[in-house]
Amino acid sequence: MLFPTLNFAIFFLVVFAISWELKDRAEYRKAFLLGASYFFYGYWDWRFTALLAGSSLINYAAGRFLSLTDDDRQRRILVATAVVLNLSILGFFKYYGFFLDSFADLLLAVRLERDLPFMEIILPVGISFFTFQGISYVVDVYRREIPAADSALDIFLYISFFPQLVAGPIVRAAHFLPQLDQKPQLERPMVSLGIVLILIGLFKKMVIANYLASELVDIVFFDPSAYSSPDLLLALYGYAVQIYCDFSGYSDIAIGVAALLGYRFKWNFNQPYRAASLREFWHRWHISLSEWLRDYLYKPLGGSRHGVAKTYRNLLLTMFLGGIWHGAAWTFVVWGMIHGSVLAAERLLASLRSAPAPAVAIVGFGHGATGQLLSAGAASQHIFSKTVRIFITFHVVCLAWIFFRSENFELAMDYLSGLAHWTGGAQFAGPFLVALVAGSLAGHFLPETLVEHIARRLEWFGPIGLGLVLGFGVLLIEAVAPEGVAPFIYFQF
Amino acid sequence: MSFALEFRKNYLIDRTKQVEAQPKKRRARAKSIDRKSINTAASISGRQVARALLIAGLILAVFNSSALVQYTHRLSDNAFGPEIIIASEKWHAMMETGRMTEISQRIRTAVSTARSSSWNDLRNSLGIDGRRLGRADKPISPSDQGIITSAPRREDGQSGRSIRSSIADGSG
Repeated sequence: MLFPTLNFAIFFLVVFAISWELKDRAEYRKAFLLGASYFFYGYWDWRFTALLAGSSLINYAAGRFLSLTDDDRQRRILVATAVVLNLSILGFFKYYGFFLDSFADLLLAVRLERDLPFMEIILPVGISFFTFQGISYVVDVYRREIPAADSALDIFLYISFFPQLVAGPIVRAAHFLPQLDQKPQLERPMVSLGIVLILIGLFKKMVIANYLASELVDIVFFDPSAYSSPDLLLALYGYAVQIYCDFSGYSDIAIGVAALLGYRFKWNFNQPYRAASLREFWHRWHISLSEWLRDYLYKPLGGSRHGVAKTYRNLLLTMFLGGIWHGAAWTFVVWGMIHGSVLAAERLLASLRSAPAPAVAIVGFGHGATGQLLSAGAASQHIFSKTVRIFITFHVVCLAWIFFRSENFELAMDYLSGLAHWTGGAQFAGPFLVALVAGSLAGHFLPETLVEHIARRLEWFGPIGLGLVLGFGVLLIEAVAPEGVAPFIYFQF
Repeated sequence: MSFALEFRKNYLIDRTKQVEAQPKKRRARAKSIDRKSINTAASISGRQVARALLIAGLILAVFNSSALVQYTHRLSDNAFGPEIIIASEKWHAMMETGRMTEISQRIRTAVSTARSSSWNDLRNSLGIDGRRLGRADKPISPSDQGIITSAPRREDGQSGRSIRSSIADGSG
């Protein structure tokens, strides 16, 4: 069931009402939310609820066994077994077809064609997200960062909690499990923030992302060779905005819905296109995934602690795996490798720079007119330098998005070729689409705490005021949005 | 005590103390009111929020009644049969009669106009000189730029379906 649908609205109304009636009975509340989460997941395909339950059981059991032994070797075997089981499930559903096709192509290339076992595998929704969540729980227990949960109910709810089940954010057990132990509180700041986030998320997804997809991106990316270079460029910027609004919109709604149920999730996006380096980009984009990759892949590989060469290896490997996490296609691999290469190049450049030049050297110029002029000059230079870095970072990200979005490698190369040989006029650059793209990008430079400021204004509204804001907000979004309900892009991961 | 001293005590000294005491009492009362307001304002009950959600639902049912009709039509083989569809259509007709659906219709018309506007239209609406500048004002024919198109642009803007294409027909 998709968030921006009447089905979900009815579902959430029922879940909200009953869960708050049960707030004084913790175990009943958790059981009810667990049942609601399985209903939510089963709505996609009831068969995969067994998979979800199986994954939760593996992680719960691993946690319990880890808590029963202090022997290092046994603990390593247990955590390795749990991680392998989790990744095997993920690997089978996600990569079986890809490896089979690639293997078949390889056999064809060496003239050893064979009939390989064919199976049509349906990808369970959200499998990448709940698998990573389960792994993070087991590894945190192994590292003794959190105690193993006694209650199976807690772990099952942690992994299957419906707001973040199918497209994140990837919530850490250390952050979520303690909230299950506390008596849930409904506070005005959380309610107002929840409502604001839901409205912002719906606007991003239903209006911005859907219009850009249907009127620009899907058309141009379907056959890039048919369109002029300016159209390719506009569609590329349009996709950068579309995927941001689609994904961050879902995260906003998930965080808002969780807030209305009394649970706090961390931010998953923080104006990523204002990043002045790729490293900063990954501190702002899909934050829960980048932190997961850092804590459970990059650091265990050694991080930056074992010399320059291994640091670059670890960066490339982490981004390579980050790429294939998104899907079983060579284009995702290329996407990951572009990010890994540029991250490594950034580190190399940073190490080659001798003494870091002060970005702004206001102190030392003096307080006279000349000093102030020099200070202003230094500040302008800093602003110019930062603007250039933001511009370059954004275009590196867009270059990688070409591969991320394209159906296959050939279409991605067609896209690049179309951009490189600059010809033709812009067919799609009408005021509406240009305003949508430009306005969305400009929004990345609004104050970072703007959402909290808006939410604070709503805090003193009573139920009628909140209802009016929510009702008319959704009405406006519904009226502005195009017809139809498009799935969220990240559901395919 | 003489009359004068007693008068001074009752009506001047004691009175002054009473007047001075009052603002303190008023201040204390105001503080206690503030404290209560802050205490009650910090928390909100689930029922109050549920009421807010119901009000939002009611607003949508009144002003966006067409969505209700579409939803009931999409429900397949529901236990209530065609009655629920008839009920939603009657409700929608009532809202149309009461002109409740005008707001959404006007917004949709305005958005539709904006979507189909060209740069010339924008310049005209802003009262700027109507000289044409942008190529986007005129559809570029492939022969103008020597491009052979294999896939003509569709009128409805829909592209082929693929795992990465993100548009589907409405489904709840």
